[in-house]
Amino acid sequence: MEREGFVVVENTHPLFPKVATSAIVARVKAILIEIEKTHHIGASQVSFKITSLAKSGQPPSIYIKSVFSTGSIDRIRFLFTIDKLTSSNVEPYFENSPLFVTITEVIDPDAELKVGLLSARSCHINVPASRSVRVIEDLMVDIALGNLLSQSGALFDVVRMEEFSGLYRRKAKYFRSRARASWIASIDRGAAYAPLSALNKLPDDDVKGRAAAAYAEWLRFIASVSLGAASHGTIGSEIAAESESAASNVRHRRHLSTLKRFGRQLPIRRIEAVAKTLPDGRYMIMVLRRSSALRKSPSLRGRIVGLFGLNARINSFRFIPADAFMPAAHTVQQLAKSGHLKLIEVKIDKGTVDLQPFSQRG
Amino acid sequence: MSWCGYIDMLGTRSMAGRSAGELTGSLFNFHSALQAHFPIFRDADCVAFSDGAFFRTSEFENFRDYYIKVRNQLFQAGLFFRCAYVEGDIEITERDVGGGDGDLPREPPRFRSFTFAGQAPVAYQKESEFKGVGCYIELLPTSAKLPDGIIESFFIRLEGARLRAERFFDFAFSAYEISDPKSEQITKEYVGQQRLLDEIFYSCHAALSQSDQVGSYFLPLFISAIKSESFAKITIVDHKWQNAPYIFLKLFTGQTLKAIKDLPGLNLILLSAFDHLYSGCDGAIPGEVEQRVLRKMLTRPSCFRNLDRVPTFVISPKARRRLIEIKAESEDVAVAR
Repeated sequence: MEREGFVVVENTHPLFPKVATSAIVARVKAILIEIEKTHHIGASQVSFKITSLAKSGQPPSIYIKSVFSTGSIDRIRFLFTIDKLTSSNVEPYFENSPLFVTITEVIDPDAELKVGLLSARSCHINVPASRSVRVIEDLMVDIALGNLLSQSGALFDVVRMEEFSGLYRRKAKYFRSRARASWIASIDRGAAYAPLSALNKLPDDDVKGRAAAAYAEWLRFIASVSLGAASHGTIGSEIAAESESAASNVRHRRHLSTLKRFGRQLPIRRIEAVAKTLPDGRYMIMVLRRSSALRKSPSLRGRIVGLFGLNARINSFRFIPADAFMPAAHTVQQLAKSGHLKLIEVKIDKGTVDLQPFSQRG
Repeated sequence: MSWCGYIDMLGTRSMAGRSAGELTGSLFNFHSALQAHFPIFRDADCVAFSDGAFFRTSEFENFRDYYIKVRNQLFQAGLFFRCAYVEGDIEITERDVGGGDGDLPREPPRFRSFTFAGQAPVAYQKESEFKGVGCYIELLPTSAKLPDGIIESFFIRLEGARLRAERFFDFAFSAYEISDPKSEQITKEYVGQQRLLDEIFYSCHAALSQSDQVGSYFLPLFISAIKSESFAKITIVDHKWQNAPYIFLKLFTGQTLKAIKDLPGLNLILLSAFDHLYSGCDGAIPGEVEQRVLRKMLTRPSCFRNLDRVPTFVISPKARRRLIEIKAESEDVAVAR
């Protein structure tokens, strides 16, 4: 599902031209592709669209009603304005939004993360003009990584037990504990969401650095959630859970190399190295097995490059969390049927990669 | 003498099919652009509704400054339109019936409407017949010099497999609007002004994936960009282009043409550019410039087919003769080799 954001400014504002918002989307994509390349996960599967609107002097009460009363707001994740907004401006339209962040450009030199204008699943950020682009980029990267990493492991469990509002509160709490690392100067105690991808002070154009920092921060957050879950369980249940887990590992452990026909051809060490960086959970590994299409067929090339990147070659692989796998299924299933790629269902448990029963497809 | 017109946003039906939100946002931006610059539209009335607007003013000259700012703002947002500007006045009749009396907000049942008489139907008709993005100005084609800021352009009408070029007059682009984004020599004329040529190429490319008809609407913009520039001082020094406007470089160097290779009438754009170069150089195009331009045009064989059928407002007889000459010379050279 495409995520959307709106920028409502005067027509003379630097963020009004389409070329400016396109540049933001392009840089976010570059950061996500960098994460995808480095960590072999489908980080760039979430797409974004930013629409800029020229307010022509109209107040928020008028333009918000004009634009957002169509009712289809599920995809909207942020609203950037040059106006001070109030809860009454946004509540009628966004109260049930899965996540809604408001951003206001202010004269103050420092960025501040405040309590959101909605009761849950929101926060408000005041930013100086010099940080307007950065805050939008960091928010979009955060949304993409959150979408991916909450599909499995500890975050999946949090969402299952506490819903997304619970996950966002935990993120905000984590952000407060690491606030010194961020370019955002302060965070209010009551804020119900915070973008972990903003927990660095790297230059805006350092795509590689920002990609690495964002992903590392998320992994630290996941580790803190996992540790927190472990420490909150009773001793008895913890031992029982561990025993159960150990037993199931003995029953089901099958190494990647045991896959029929091509198990021994897989880049096992590289796959295991990547698995060590991923949260525990179920994943699908897509492995490219035929690359001649890259030379011969433009349409196939487009599909393969879309999944594996420009440097795709035989045995290029990608980890996709099992629950996030479905949206790409049509393209992937076609390529699996034609033999261009293989799908392997695995479980990652404390860095170990195990095949699941009936795990090989295609 | 009063002048009036009608402007209509393009692509609203396909936007509505894609996304209600996209349509709503686009209409919002359309109205915002018309409103934002209205204070400089002297002695004018404008009624905007949904994706269109009628307007009138007391003098021809009053519209230009307003129009070019509205155009710039809409193109920046990736919104394109057709407009017609004709001589005459518009009668606007408003009906506002029901809803109660007094100063309180008026409640249903309430009926409101606008009807437009006078030259409004003429403006509406000219706009719908105009198959291009830009402003169709109804000026009589005379040999007199065109008013400042007005250029001669053309659009094409697709008739099955054939296309027919039709001449019209439009408002020129400013130097900044069609300059190279990397250039620091040409500066903005007002706050909020943006360069437009890259957005025009991009949007044309996107429109062509919808249909040839929709893509062909962008052709007049390329002609207007050509005619808004001077090609008189273009040279090549040490293999580098000098004094070559951005639109010239986009058409005759690099790979930009590939993005619009399927544009109906692309050959007419190149012929028009050659004509503009020929007349700008008073019939004496520097040799190497001429050769490089010819080489690019030879990659589009349609530039040299049925040249007799190409109207003289696209390429003059003298420029056409010169083009045929240099093509023949290049073939002699090839044979001689």
